[in-house]
Order: sequence, then C-alpha cells, then structure tokens
Amino acid sequence: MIVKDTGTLPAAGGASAPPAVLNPWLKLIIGIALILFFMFGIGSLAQRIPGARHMAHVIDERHLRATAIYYTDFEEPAEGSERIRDSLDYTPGGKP
Amino acid sequence: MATGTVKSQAEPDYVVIDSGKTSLRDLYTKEDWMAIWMGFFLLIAGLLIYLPNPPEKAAEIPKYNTVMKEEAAKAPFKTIEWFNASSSKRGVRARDQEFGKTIQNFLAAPSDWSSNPLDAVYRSKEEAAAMSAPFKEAADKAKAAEGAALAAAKAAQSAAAAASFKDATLNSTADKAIKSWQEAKDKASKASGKASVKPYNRVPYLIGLCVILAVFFGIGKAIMGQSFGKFVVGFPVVFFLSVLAYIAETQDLMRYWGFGFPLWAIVFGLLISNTIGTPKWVMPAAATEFFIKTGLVLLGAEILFNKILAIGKPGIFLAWVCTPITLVLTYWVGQKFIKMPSKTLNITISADMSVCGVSAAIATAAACKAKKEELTLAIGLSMVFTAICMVAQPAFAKLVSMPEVLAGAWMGATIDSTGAVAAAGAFLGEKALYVAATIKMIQNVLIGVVAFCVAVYWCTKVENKPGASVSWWEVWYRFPKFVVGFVVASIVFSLIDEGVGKDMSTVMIDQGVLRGFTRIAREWFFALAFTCIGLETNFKEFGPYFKGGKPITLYVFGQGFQLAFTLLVGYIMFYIIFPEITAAI
Repeated sequence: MIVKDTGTLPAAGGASAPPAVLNPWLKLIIGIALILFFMFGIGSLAQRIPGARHMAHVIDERHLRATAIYYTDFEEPAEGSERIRDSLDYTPGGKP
Repeated sequence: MATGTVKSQAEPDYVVIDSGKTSLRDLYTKEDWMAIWMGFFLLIAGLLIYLPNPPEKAAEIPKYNTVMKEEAAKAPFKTIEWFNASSSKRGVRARDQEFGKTIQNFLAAPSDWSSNPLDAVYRSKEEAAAMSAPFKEAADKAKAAEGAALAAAKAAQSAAAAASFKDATLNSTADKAIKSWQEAKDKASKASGKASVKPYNRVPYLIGLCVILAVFFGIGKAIMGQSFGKFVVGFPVVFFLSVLAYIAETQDLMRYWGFGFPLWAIVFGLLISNTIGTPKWVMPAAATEFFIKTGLVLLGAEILFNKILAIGKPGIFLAWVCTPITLVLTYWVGQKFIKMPSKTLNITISADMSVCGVSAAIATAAACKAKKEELTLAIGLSMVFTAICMVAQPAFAKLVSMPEVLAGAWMGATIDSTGAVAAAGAFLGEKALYVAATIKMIQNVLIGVVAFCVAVYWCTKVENKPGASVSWWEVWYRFPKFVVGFVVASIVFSLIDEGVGKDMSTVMIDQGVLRGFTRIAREWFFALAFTCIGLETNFKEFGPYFKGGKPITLYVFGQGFQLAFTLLVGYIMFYIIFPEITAAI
C-alpha cells in the first residue's frame, strides 16, 4: 500500500491513478457543491411533479419517516399492526 | 463482505475460514464472533434495563381488551368505547418512561431541517416557539372540530343503542359519525404536533455518544489484538461523517424522496476518499465489517416471527410466498439470461429488490460476503427505484380506483424501502397506510430466513467446485459466524415475544428494548459501516459492475415481475379467498 507524504491513503485510483488534474481540495469543494446542488436544486425542482408534491405534503403532515429501512425505525408499522390486530381479535358482530 | 483495495494494514482482511482449522481463540480474535458478543451484550443490557420496569399502565391492558370484547359483542360496528380502549392500549409503551426517554435522547439522531443544517442539532426556545406559533390557531380549531365530531358520534351511537343496535339505518349513521370523529381526532393530533415544536441541543449528546461508541468498539478491537488507541483516534472522523449523513437525510427535500442515511454515508465517505484521500490515521477506525455485523446481530432481535401473523393468512401468503418466489426467479434469470457479472451482486440486488431494500441488502451481502461495491450499487439502485415507486404506485392505484386494502398490500409487498411503503400508503389513506406498513413488517421478518439460507447456500454450493461434495465441518468453517448470532438473537427474542404474550411483548419488547434502545444503536452502527464503505471505496471500482447496464436490467425485470405477480395474488387473497379479513380491516 502506497501512502502519500500527506499522510492520506491513495485517493481516486490509488497508486495506479493518473496524475491528478485538479487539486484534491478543489475536487472536494466541487463535490460538496454538487451535493448541495442535488439537495436544494434537483430536490426542489422535483417538487414540481404533482404526485411528488402531494407526497411531500403527506410525509410532512404525518411526520412520516420515509427513509426508514426497517419496520422498527418508525411508528406506523407498530400502530398499523396493533390496529389491525384489534380489528381482527375484537371484530364487531363476530370474528372473521 | 470482502474488503477492498484501500484497507488499513492494522486491520486484517475478512477471511473465509476454509482451511478446516479453528480454535477457541477464534471466539475472541475473529471479528464475526466479537460482533456476536458485542451485539449480545447490548441486547442483554436492553433486556435488563426494560424488563424489570414495566410501565404502570401495563396493568390496565386486560381491562382495555375486555372493553373491546364487550363492545364488539354489543354493537355491529366499532363503538366510541372500542376505539378509546384500542387507542389507550397502543399508548402503553415501556420506552415512554423517564429512563427510556433519557436513553432515547442520548442516542437520538439529528432532527429535521429545511435550509439551515444547524437546525438539525440545535433549536433554541425562541425558534421552537416561533415555529409553533403559526400552527396554534389551526391546532385549536382542529381540537374544537374533534370535540364537535365526538359529540355528534356520541349522539348517533346513543340513538343506535336506544334501538338496541337493531336499526340498520341508525347503526350505519353511528358508524359513519364515529369514523368522522376518528378522522377529526387524527387531524387534531397532527395539528397539535405541528403546534408543539420543542427546543433541543443534540451537540453534547452526540459528543457523549461518540466517546461511548469509540470506547465500546475500541475495547472490542483491543480484545481482538488490535490497537485501541489507533481506533479511538480515527473514530471521531467516521462518527462525524455519520452525523453528516443523518443531517443530509433529515433535510426536508431529501426526506420527501426517501434518500436515507445509508446513501449519504457512502456519498460523504466517497467524497473524502476520492478527493483529498482518507487520512491514514482514520483507517484503523474504518471497521466496516465490525460495525455491520454487530448491527446485524442487533437487527436479529428485531426479527420477531410472531409478527408474520399480524394480518392473517393473506399477509403471510403475500409476503412469505410471493417474495421468495420473486427472489429466486430474479436470481435465476440474473444468472441464466442476464449473465450478471457476479453471483454475489446478483443475489444482493435480488434480495434488496424483492424483500425490503437496504436492510435486506445489508443482511444478504454480509451473508454471501459480497464486495462493498456490490452492496453500495444495490443500495443506490434501491433508493432510486424506491423514490420512483413511492410516487408512481399510489398515483396508479388512485388512477384505477384500487381499493385501499389491495393497494396497501400491493405497495407494502413491492416498494423496497420500509419507510417509503408507509408514505405511499398514506398517499391513499389511513387504511392503505396501515395495511402497507403491516405487510412490509411481515416481509421485513423474512430477511432473517433469507440471510440464513443465502449463507448456507453459498457455503454448500456457490463456494464449491461443481459436483464436489463438502463435509458439514467444512460448511461450518466457511459459514459467516455472525449469522449464528443474528439467528440466535431472532429466535431468543421471538421466544420472549411469544412467552410474554402479544400485548406485553408490544409494550416491553417492541416498544421497550428494541425501539427504546437496541434499534437506535443498530442504526448508528449501520451509519458508521456505510461511512467506512465510502472511505474505503474508489469510484473506479464501480465501473465493471455497470457493464451493459446489467444490474439495472435485473432490477427492472425483478420489480416488473413482482408488481404484476403480487397484485394478482393480493387480489386473490384479499378479495376472493379471505374477503372476511378485508372486511374486518
């Protein structure tokens, strides 16, 4: 493993990478700018899509965590399954 | 997972033990075993914290059940008392006690923000008051509307009761009035939430959490014979990037699109490693495998097998029959026709697409030792398709006037990400939301079985020469040991879940040990792991995997099949074979 004098591990291609065209710090700044552009630019442009705009409203109104990766990461599965369980266990007029 | 080219010399590569040699030393020198012990330590701590301290209101649960039973026998619709009892029961949660709130405060991720990222970690009293003020009036109005709706519901129910619930017209009027009250109550609750923004300062907690996690994992590293000091020195950088990933997730626009912390953690890590380079002194803390496996052991405890019964047989059929069929078919098509460049990439994408997105990708990739680039690719694909499906599927369901239960079941079984499923369901209505979230929960549980089966299949078939037989000892040597911890955690917690009964399990396990402690820790571990993946990865390593757009072809095929197949099976299950369950929901 080749380690640069700067004390960092090889970046963008490691030891076999061609000589860097841009200063690494400039690349970092460009990268941050691209991320910000994606977050605030493309992200907000997409809000012009009617369905997406309504979805944003629903997520906000319910304070839903649309980014959850598992059922324990937010409340709705717990609440939903509890409601459904009560509905099935104590069905008015008899059990299904 | 296999490690990449950029790896600390201090940290040994993950090695599949296929030499047929093992010793007791493995139990404390190998990362898989150490992940198991550390995961078990946290799970036992969670049980010791919560189980001896049930909330006082837990004693009221039998009373709530009795009320629902009596009301169900009395009237042909859900009465006001029935709803109140059900709601009160759901409000009993072990983690709402003071000690639970303290733990959750300590482990809490950054909060939502819109334009100023600092809002994610700090909000003053003045700012909180200013944010609440515009919604006070709406909240008061919603509260008043709820009161009026309740009065109307009470009047309608009394009229129906006066006729001994035998007048169909009065019963129907009461049922409608009670449903209107429930809707008004729901609106009032949402309005109240917006009008009660609380101040916070997460910075001290985050610093404290960083120190605790550094020491916790540092001790694990030291026991395995690696440097505690080097790990602790590099850890704050990994932790800081993980916090940034959470902050990116909680930005309003990103929340709407479902771009969660796993994606951002990889992006921020990649940004550092591919521009200025990951500092050498950070690399001992870039313990991807260690974080991910410890997180997976904790995830095992969240795989509670009783959950699969939550919506009866239609749910089991949809989530536990359709999903494996889609998974196996997609993998087979990937190998046979699409000719995927790697089997591990194929199975990771297939599981990610057919089961439940990121969490399934993590578990499957770890079980088959996929490369970190493959996991990253699968997660990226999943997030992009999830963003599309979470808008397109409910829009389609609305366009064709699909019934809410069917739409909820369809979206729950087909949209990858668990959170996006709930959002898509909410797009259509409350019933669709709860059915979608419940089906997804049942499907989530499947990842325990998938990870185990994939690990066994890889050890016995994929890693063997064609036609060669392999002894069980050999299988054991090759087997990713952390999967044992993952499965044991699942079985033990499922037994506890069964043993204490449905209601107490919800209060003490689901809404206590898991949501009040270990699942928050698990999420941090995954955030750390994804940050490390980014810090160790080079953009160029992705190139070969995109050749011919095969991963996208595989994903589109699998998702297309799943959409059609699940819709058909969902319709048959909920409307032809079990219509009474659909009616009761």
